[in-house]
Amino acid sequence: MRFEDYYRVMGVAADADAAAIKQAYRRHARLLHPDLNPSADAHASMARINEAYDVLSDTQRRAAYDGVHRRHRTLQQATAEAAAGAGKPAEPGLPGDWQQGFQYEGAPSTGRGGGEGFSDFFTSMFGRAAKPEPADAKPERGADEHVKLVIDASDAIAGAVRSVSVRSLAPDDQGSRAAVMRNLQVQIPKGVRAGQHIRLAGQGSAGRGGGAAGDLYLEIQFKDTAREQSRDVLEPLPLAPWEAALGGDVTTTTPAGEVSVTVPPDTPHGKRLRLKGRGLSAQSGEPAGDMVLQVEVKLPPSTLPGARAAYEVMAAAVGRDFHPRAGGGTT
Amino acid sequence: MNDVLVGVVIDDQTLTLDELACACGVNADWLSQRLEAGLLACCSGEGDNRRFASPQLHRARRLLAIEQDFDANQELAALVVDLLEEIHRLRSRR
Repeated sequence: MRFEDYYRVMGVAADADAAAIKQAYRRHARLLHPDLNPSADAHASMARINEAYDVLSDTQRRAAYDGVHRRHRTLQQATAEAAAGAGKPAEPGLPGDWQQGFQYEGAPSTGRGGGEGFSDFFTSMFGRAAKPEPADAKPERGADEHVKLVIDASDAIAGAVRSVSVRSLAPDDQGSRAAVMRNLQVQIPKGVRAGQHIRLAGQGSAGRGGGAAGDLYLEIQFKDTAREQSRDVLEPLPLAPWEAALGGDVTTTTPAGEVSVTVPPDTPHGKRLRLKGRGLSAQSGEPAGDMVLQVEVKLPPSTLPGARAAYEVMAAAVGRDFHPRAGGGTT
Repeated sequence: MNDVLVGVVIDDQTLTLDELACACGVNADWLSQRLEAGLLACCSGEGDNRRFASPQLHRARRLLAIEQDFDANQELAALVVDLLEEIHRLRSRR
């Protein structure tokens, strides 16, 4: 397990006061907000900042963390000095017993906003209560948890089963609740669209004192965000040159299953053929979307048996009248 | 092997005010204040029968995050959320 230096993550000194920590958090939050920062690693960076802030902004958690932070720093210095004395490079990683003396008496936490992307370090330090919950604890419902689930638009057309990892509080062997990572298999309902939430009753955090478990909410996002606002679905339609030129009925596999399409004669590369009502299914008063098939003309390689001869015949027959770099191709 | 869990899309089975409060980790009064101020809307119903769907859940959680993270008052947080929603709409139209 890797030690997390939350002061370094936040860019503050180890003796920074609460106001300085909050200011640093806001500075990072503005820079890394997913609506403002489109970079791929912004989400992971924000999760690290959230994790650091979750610990440093909570008095009990910060006090417990400061103990291991000091010990870790001392052990690291000692290890580096010993390695330098022996003429060897310092070994990376954690010095042996840095967790010794760690004491956290607060409630177990799954982390800010459900702790998506939080480290194992956080879970092992703060995901477990120090004492078992009293037997006469008042029943309390567990917290609802939220996870973003990124799927392909095709999963929404045909429905699919997808795996979801969720961090939540669950009962442990000692009768306490502890943060655990669970992998769930979830049915993606046909027709679901980006921005919708799927509610899984009782799959959130465990309750206290026999209280009911909370719910789990999955927020759906599409991998291709361009598709999020439309119920139409764009899929490629690969065609052989003769299929595109002569036209006819072709069969292709789409997320909605096998479909038969009538290709008009002289269909150019890039043309879109629309199959009405074959996209995302109708929902909440909105009509079903369309399946839009974009033609991709695939050339057979000349190395295929007979292909070279066929191209030569074609070149001799139409080469005089076909000029692909002159507008429409024919003159 | 895990069983496959089947959930419900909350636009098909919308949330009550209390369920929305649980989902956001706030008490119902927090939501009522923002509903009365017009910063949050329900998708159907009135009074105790108000119902909420995915867009309202998303907006309520965003409002909460901005109020908490930036110590923003509720009007300012709502303005930021309005602008974020507009950015999202414009980007998805490209």
